[in-house]
Parts: sequence; structure tokens; C-alpha cells
Amino acid sequence: MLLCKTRWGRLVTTLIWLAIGLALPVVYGNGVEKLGQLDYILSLVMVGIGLNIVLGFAGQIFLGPSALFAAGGYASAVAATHYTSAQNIYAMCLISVVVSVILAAVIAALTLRVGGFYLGMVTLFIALVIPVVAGQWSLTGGQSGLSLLTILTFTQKPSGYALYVVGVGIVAVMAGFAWAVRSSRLGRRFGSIMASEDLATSIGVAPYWTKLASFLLAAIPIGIAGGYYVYSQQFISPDSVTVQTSIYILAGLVVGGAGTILGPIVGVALVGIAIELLNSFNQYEGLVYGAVLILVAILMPTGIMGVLRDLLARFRPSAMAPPSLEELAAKMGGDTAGGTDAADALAQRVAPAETDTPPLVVMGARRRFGGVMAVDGVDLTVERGRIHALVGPNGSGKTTLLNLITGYYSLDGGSITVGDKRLDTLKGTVPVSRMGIARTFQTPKLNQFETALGNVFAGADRTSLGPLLGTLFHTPRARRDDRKAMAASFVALGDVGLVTNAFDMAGLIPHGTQRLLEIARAMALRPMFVLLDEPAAGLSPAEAEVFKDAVRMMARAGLGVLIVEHNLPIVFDIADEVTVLDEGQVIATGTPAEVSRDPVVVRVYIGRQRLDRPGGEGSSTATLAPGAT
Amino acid sequence: MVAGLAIGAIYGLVGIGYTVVFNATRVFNLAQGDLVMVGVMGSYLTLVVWKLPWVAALVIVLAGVAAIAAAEERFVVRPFLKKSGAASFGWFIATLGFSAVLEAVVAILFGHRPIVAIPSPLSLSGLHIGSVQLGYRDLLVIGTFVVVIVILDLFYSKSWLGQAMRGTAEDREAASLRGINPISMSRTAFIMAGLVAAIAGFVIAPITFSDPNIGLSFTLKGFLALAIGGFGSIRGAVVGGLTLGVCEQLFDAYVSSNYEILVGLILVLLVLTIRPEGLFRSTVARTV
Amino acid sequence: MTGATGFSIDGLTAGYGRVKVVTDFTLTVAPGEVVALVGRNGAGKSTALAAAVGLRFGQAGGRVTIDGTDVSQETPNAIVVAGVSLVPEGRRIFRDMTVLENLRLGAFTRRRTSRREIPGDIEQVYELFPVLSRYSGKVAGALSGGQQQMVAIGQALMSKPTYLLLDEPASGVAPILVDEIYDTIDRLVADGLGVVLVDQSVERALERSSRYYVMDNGSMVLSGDSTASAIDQINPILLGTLGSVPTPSTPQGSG
Repeated sequence: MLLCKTRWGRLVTTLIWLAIGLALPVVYGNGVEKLGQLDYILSLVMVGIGLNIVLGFAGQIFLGPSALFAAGGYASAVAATHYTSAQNIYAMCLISVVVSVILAAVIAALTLRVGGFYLGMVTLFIALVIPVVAGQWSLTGGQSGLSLLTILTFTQKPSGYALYVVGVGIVAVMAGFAWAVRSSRLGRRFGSIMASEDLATSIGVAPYWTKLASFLLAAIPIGIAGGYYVYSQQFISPDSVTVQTSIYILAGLVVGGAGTILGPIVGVALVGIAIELLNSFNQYEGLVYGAVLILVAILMPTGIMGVLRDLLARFRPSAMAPPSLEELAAKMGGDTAGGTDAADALAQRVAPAETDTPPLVVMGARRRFGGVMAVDGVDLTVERGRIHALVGPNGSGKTTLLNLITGYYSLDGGSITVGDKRLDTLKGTVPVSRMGIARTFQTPKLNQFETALGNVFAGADRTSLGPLLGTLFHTPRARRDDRKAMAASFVALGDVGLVTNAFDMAGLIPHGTQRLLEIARAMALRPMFVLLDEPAAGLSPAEAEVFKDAVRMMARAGLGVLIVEHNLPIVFDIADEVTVLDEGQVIATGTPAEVSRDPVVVRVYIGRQRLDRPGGEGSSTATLAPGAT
Repeated sequence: MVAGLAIGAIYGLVGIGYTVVFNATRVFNLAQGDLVMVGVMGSYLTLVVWKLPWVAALVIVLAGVAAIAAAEERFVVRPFLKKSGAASFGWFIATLGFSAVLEAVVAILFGHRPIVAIPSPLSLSGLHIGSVQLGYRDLLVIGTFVVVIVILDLFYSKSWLGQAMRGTAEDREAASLRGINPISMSRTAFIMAGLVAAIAGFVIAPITFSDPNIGLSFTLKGFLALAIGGFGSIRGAVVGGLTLGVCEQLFDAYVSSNYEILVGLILVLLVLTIRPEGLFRSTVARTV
Repeated sequence: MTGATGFSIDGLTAGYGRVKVVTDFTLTVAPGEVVALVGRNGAGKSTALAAAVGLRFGQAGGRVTIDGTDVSQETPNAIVVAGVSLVPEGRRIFRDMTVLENLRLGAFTRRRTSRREIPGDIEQVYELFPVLSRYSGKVAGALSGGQQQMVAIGQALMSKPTYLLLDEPASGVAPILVDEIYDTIDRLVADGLGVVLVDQSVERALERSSRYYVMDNGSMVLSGDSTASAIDQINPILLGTLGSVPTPSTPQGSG
């Protein structure tokens, strides 16, 4: 988003930014030396754009962009030194990209399993190591580095201002690339990963591969930067790619606004210019730079572009307001291809066809934690089109069983199957969710900084990896899929009564309502089975009604629903079948009426609570009225 | 070998500084290495420039570095402790900025001066046990290291404050609802980390260079020590630091000192592959 | 009733930045009394209680007093010392610590004044919630939701509060444990504890309290004695404003 909503506005702002870029030498200076500095800054900006993809979009704390930059730059310099055919800007950028992407893959493979802050420090260390190694190696020219000026056959073409213009053009294309990445499905998966990996896996997003993708995509701009740098400076040495370079670029990204499109460009350019200008006061450079980092981090955590966006939102609310429901409907309806999307989505609430899918069967499931059998030989069958309640005292193993079914834990014994497909032998939660098993969490896991609609939309995405890369190019097919998913998301929101909250930030929605939003997200996956972990905790009586209707509707649409819930008036009102667990074992199964009369269940679980409380004021509870003591 | 242990002890002390702050705030203080550097430079200032007696110098260095750490907590880190979520990355940038400021200030103050050896109360010689020579200065570093470990271990296992800090790190708001003042917890933790850094700087001053730029290298090596040993425990910092120090010395002796920097990387990658949570970190069952 | 005894919130206003979530919130509880605070989701109950004990929102206005002492400007930890403990929603215990460590840490404010009594107090909590003593050395995060709720309440009791604010203590707790927890609270109230109780189940809240307050859209809209007929006045507020309730019903009040 270029801070403007309409297409014309975007075009104009883009042109203005381009003009600023092209006119910069007029202000900064256009001598050979000054242009050289600007070219250098441009290459840093390119690195910043790459870093933004992995750090700002996917939230991976990758702090060693200078390692990729250095590897790419050195590779192109070495190639240019040895082969005349590699002495042009295209070949150099290409070589640089290839090497940079390979190194990114290696780094990612080695470090991605740990993630978080760990990843940051290890990658920072790699950035520290590379110049040291380059300084010792004869191929890379040791401490003195490689200079293309000494090669007689090497001539810069383009050179001077033309070279600068090429650089600005590359940056503009990269900005477009970053925008395409962010608004693609892959980009939204980055957002899910950033919010919570548990959430991501539950909607079928594999963290490892998604993070790897963000590294590889980031390595492309960084690689181009390496080639452009060596070509324009005609020189590279260990001193040009120190760990400080990484830190400066990181600073620029934060100053500009991580996660925005223009943030890395504006921020890194400002930091780069500042460094060049401060260079004459050598000692004070670090002081100014450090102080700016601290102040920006404290006062403008969203960076310059974030602050601009907030200002714009305050003074021209119309420019930033989300589209109204009418606008959105018009947009969908007005488009020939999208006209029937909403209807399609309605018809396809659940996985199409396969209405005779076999039930989800748990047989003899066992799981031990330490010395305790958390789940000890549980049998359970969830039929499609029915609501199955799983209740029992705290610590009886209900949530553990849910975690076993979703693949979060592995079984110690027994099996979990849908028809002839085993779930328990799948590796982890992602393949289970792809089998059509959706879940919600006891503590709602939502992307707090995304709208309610955005959260559901993320859940509606079942694209596999190949076509996923296609969405980067925003092909017509990808756009049509997007519209369909959007329509499906709206339908899912409507089912839980949250259409009016569609554009509210998920983090600001009340806790109880967030549970309904999670249900909508699970529905958007179009699952065959949905597992709800204490979905009614914290629902107000009115919301409880909406909730009950939503669950009944799921069952009518052919889903198998498994609910873990303590609010018996609600859950017994809607359940077709109840399984009661105690200390990891099934102590009763049957209809709600049967179970609530079972003396053992009353003794260990229900106690003297009456089941006819409000929240359960439906008609079907009549038989439950005498709760017994 | 002893030299390796001494260097490992230095890394371990930086790692302990991280751990103390992390255990109360979940923040990695990226200026920790620079605090050690300030300790080294403070020793230079008090012992070489001012020519103060040992005890006075030590007291001044301790007070000075602890004060800097307290100031860092107040002005650089605390703004991020109140917030959560999106701003959770902010402290990283801010402590990085603070480390740059520290380095710059020290460089401005001590910029153009010859690098001088900082005197030590102990002579350069050492004990001879058989054919092995044990340098007194190395032994001092190792001895200090052991004392710091013992004190901190007692602190975390026995004292109310240590427990309260752990609680604060987990959930500041919940801690305050249980009557714990989260601000005083984080401040105390930073002061403690400052003291550890000051002691480290003071004892290693005679065996290292007095150069403002050594901070970043301490910061990273201390981190590697934690990465090898495991986060969040004093034991992890100790084991990781010693492993790294000894391996580096062995590598220098038998392979090449030019590529010494690779040792840390290789060790970390090895640990990552075999035991991602570090050598000393019990796995806690995850729940969703 | 802003007299000498009682925990009293008078005209509290609180929110996030410029957005006011709570306006003019007023509530009083005396020692040995349970008052219920009910309202729809998002009505501002949790925000109001959190702001009253000095948490995050920085009160914009209003007066909070504990037995006559003004604590409006105090930090949460100071308010604990003054005798008010909040058990926030969502079982905010220290999950990485053992049950015993959690309980001990609950007595942090008394570590100097009554160090010797603390082991005995921990035993008392174990008597109130016997299941916890079984898991004394276990990491609290590994306990089930209901047990964690007991740890949270036990931890709050360790500071020997005069007033206890319970935000949704029954949420996600097995029915039989809900009874156990509420019975325990009744015993403590009989010993003189004052309790503010937030509960999603209006009936249960009325059953366990002597007076009630109803919040809506951030303000107090109704209060009175917890009689059986009170529910008829409360339910229209709770059900009324949320548009699409399919079957509007008038539930039977149960005693």
C-alpha cells in the first residue's frame, strides 16, 4: 500500500516517489564520488527490501543480511575477475543472486529449527564470520579485497547517472516485488507464522517450509544488491561487508518501518545518507546512530511509514477506512467472474461431495507424561453430521486427547483413523489439518494485528506449495481464488454473527467473542471434522445462543463436531452423544440424558450442579432437569 | 588449557550477565559485552590514568558500571517492558543502539591513546605443577568465575528476590498483582548484571586489550556460550563458556588461529543439530 | 457507602489511550460480603477491576479507597500490600514454576513481616484445595485448567487479602470443581473476606452473592440485592442489546 486507496492515487504517489529517487543527486551532489555513494546507498536499500521480507513480513529475526550480500558480491567479483563474459551488470547480478539464494538455503536449513532470538544471534554471528574468512582466503583477495579497476577489460556500461537510474529502477521493481509477496497467499502465511506457529500449523501452514520460502525470497533482492554493489563500486573487501553493515540496514528498516513496502526504502536511504554525511565526524557517528536507534525504537515503534499511516488515518479517515460491506459486495458482484462466488461459498460450506466419509475413530489411545497415564486406552467415534461432547474433570485427559488427534502429541499406543487413513502416523499437526481436521484453542490464538476477516481468510487458504508460488504473480486464477476465499470467509463470519466485526482488529475483540472468531476460522478451512477446545468459556448468554446455532449448523452441513467443554447446560443442549473421561479413561458414554443420570459421572464430575441454568434454556434440556445430588 | 579455561570463564561471565537480565525481563541485553568493555576501560582509567589503589579502583568500577546498567534499564529497556506484542522486538533495537552509544562514548573519551597493558596485582608468572604452567592471572579469572557462579546459584535457589524475578520475567502483570514490584525487579537485575560485567572487566583487564571495539565480540561470544550451554540457566552459561573457550584454544594450537572465529559457529551448529535447546535445558512439556 | 471500612470504587474511568472502555464505574464491597459483577462480554468488567487495582490502563479519573485510605494513584503491588488481591481472568499464574513456588511467591509481600507463618499458610491452601498438595512439586503450566485456577486463587490468598476480586473463576472449570471453589470462597467469606465476583452465569453469581452490580457499555447500569427475582431485571440487559438472539426466553430463576 502506497498510502493511498484509489488506483489513480497510487499511480501518482508511485510517480512522486520515483521522481524523488531520480532527483536525489541534484540535492545530494552528482559528482563521481557522490554518485558512487548514492549507488552504495541504493545497494543497501535493496538489501533492506530483502531483509524486510523475512523480518517484516514473516517475523523471522534474521540479522545477517550482510552475509548474503557479501557472498553474492564476492561471487560476482570473483567471476568478473576470471571471466570476461561475467563483466556486465546482468551476469554479475545473476551470479550474485544464485550464490546468495544458495547461502540463504544453507543458513535456513541449519538455523530455522530454533527460530526466535536464537536465529537472530546465530545469523548475526555468521555475518561476523564471513568477512573474517574472506580476509584470509586468497580467492577473495584477502584483506585487500578484489578490485575490478585493475582488470583492463572491465568497463562500466551503464555508468555515472545512468547507472544510478538503473539502480533506482531496480529498487522500484523490488518494491513491486515486495508488494506482490505481501499481498499474495504466501505473504498472508508469513503473517500467520509471525502471529503464532501453533496457529499456523492448525490451519495447515507448515512453519518450516514457509519460513524457508521467506529466506529464499529475501535472498533475491539481497543477491541483486551484491551484484549491483560490486558493479558500481568496482571493488569489494572484508571492510565493505562487516557485521556493521547488517546492523545499519536493520536500523534503517526499523527507522523506516518494518513490514511496510516503503519503510525499508525510506529508512535505509536515510540511514545511509546520514552515515555518509557523518563520516567526517568519525567518532560521533556511532553516538548519533545509537541514539537514533534507541529513540526510534521507543518513540516510533512502527517507523516513519507507520507514523505517516497513523497520521493519515487521523486526518483523512476516509482514505484509510476499510471498505464498507456494501462497497465490498458491489466489488464482488460487479466483477463478472466473482458474481457467483458468494453463492458458491455458501454451497460449499463443507468439503464438497464425500458426504459418506467414514467417521473419525480413536481406538485404544494411550499417552504417558512422565509417570502419569494422561490418556489411558480411550475409544471414541466422531460421526459426520453429529455433535460429540467430550467432558470430564479437570486433568482427565480431554485436551491431551485433542492434541493427540491433531498430531500435536504422538501416541504411545492405539490408533486414530478416518476410514482407512491413519492420522496418528502422520508427522505433526500440518498433515492432520490438511486431512480436513480443524481445531480451536482453549486460549484463542489469533493474529492480533490482523482484522477478523483477515484471520478467517488466512484459514480459508488451502493452496499447496506449487500454486502458492503462482500467487506471487497475482495470476487471474489466483485472484479469482482470492475472491472465492474472501466470500467464504464472509460466510463463515456470518455464521458466528460477526459480520459487523469483519474489519475490527482481532486483538481488540472481547475475549469470548474471539472464540467465535476462531470457530469461523476453523470453518473456513472447510474441514470434515472440527474439534472445539472449551469454545463456550467466556461467552455471554446471547453469544452462547449464537454459538449453539453455529455448532448445530456445522453438524447439519455434515461436519463431525467434537467439543470439549465444561459448560454443561450449553454442551448437553446441543450434543448428540457424550463421552466422559476420568483419569484418562472413558467412564461413561451415551446421550446427554443418560450420562447426566449416571451415578459415577455425577459423583466425579457433575456434582450437585443443576443443568437447567440459563445458557441452556433450550427445550431439549427438559429431561435433564433434576440434576441429582 | 588453563588459558582456554580463563577465556571460557570470560565468555561464561558475559553469558551469566545475559542470563541474569533474561531471567527477570526476557530481554537479551545486547550491550552486556559493552558493559564488560566499560569495566575494562574503567580499570584502565582508575589504575593507569588515576593511579588509584586496587580496592578503590574496584569499587569505582563496580559502582560505575552498575550505574550505567541501571540507566540502561530505566531509559532504554523499561519502555518496552510495559508493552507487549508488536513492540516485543523493540528492546532488541534499543539495546543494540545503547551498545553503539557506549562504544562511541568510550572511543571519544579514550580515542587517541596507545593501547597500554593494564597492571595486575599478580605477577606474570604462575604456579608450576609438573610441566604445566598455571598463570596467576588466568587463575584469578577462573577463581572469580567460580565465586560468581556460587553466589548466583544460591541467589536463584534460595532467595525470594530470585524467585520473584523469575515470576516477573514470565508475566510482569501477574507479578505485580501478587505484590511484586516489576520495576524494581528489572532494575535490580540490570544492576546485578552490571556488577557481574564490572567484575569481569576488572579481572580480565590485565589479560586483554583495552580497546573500545572488543564489546561486540564479547556480546557475541557470550551469546554463543549460552547457545551452546542453554538459555536461562547459570549452569548453561558456565558449561557453554568453558566449552567455547577451551575449544578455541585447542583449535588455535592444532589447526590455525586465523580461523578461530569459526570454532564458535561450528560448535553452535553442532549443538543446534543434536540438541536444539542447548546442552543444559530441560524440555518442558508444551501445552496449547 | 464510602465509609471507613470496605473496598470502594467511586466514579472510575479507564481505557486504552483515548478510547474509554469504562466510564463512571462505582462499586463497594464490605468485609464478609460477596458482591456479584455481571454484564455482557466487552461490557468492561475486567478492565474496570484491573484499573481499580492500578493495572495498565492508568485511571483517567475516579477514586479507589481501601478501608478509607485513598489508593487511586497506587501501583498494583502497593494495592496488594494494602489488602486487595485480584485474580485476573485467564489463570495468570507462573506456568514455568512449580505449584509450591507459585504459592510461596504469592506471599512475597509478607516475606519480611511474617516469614515464619508462610509454610503454615501454604498448608492451609492445600487444605482448601487438597488436589494441589498432590502436585506440589509439579510445574504449574502442566496442570489442567481447573487446577491452574485453584493455584491462581490460592496464590492470591497467600498475600492474606482483606478483599478478593475474582474475574471469572468458573471459566473452563469442571462443574464439580466449580462447586468446590465456590464453597471454599464461602468459607473464606464467613471468616471475613470481602469478595467481588465476576461470573458469566448470572444465576450462579446471584446464588453466591448478597448484592449485585450490572455493567453495560462500560458503565454501571443496575445494582441491587441478590434476590431470586433480580434475574428478571438483569437478563433483559444481558440479552437485549446483542441483536440476533434467536429464541428470546425468560429463564426460570433457580435458588
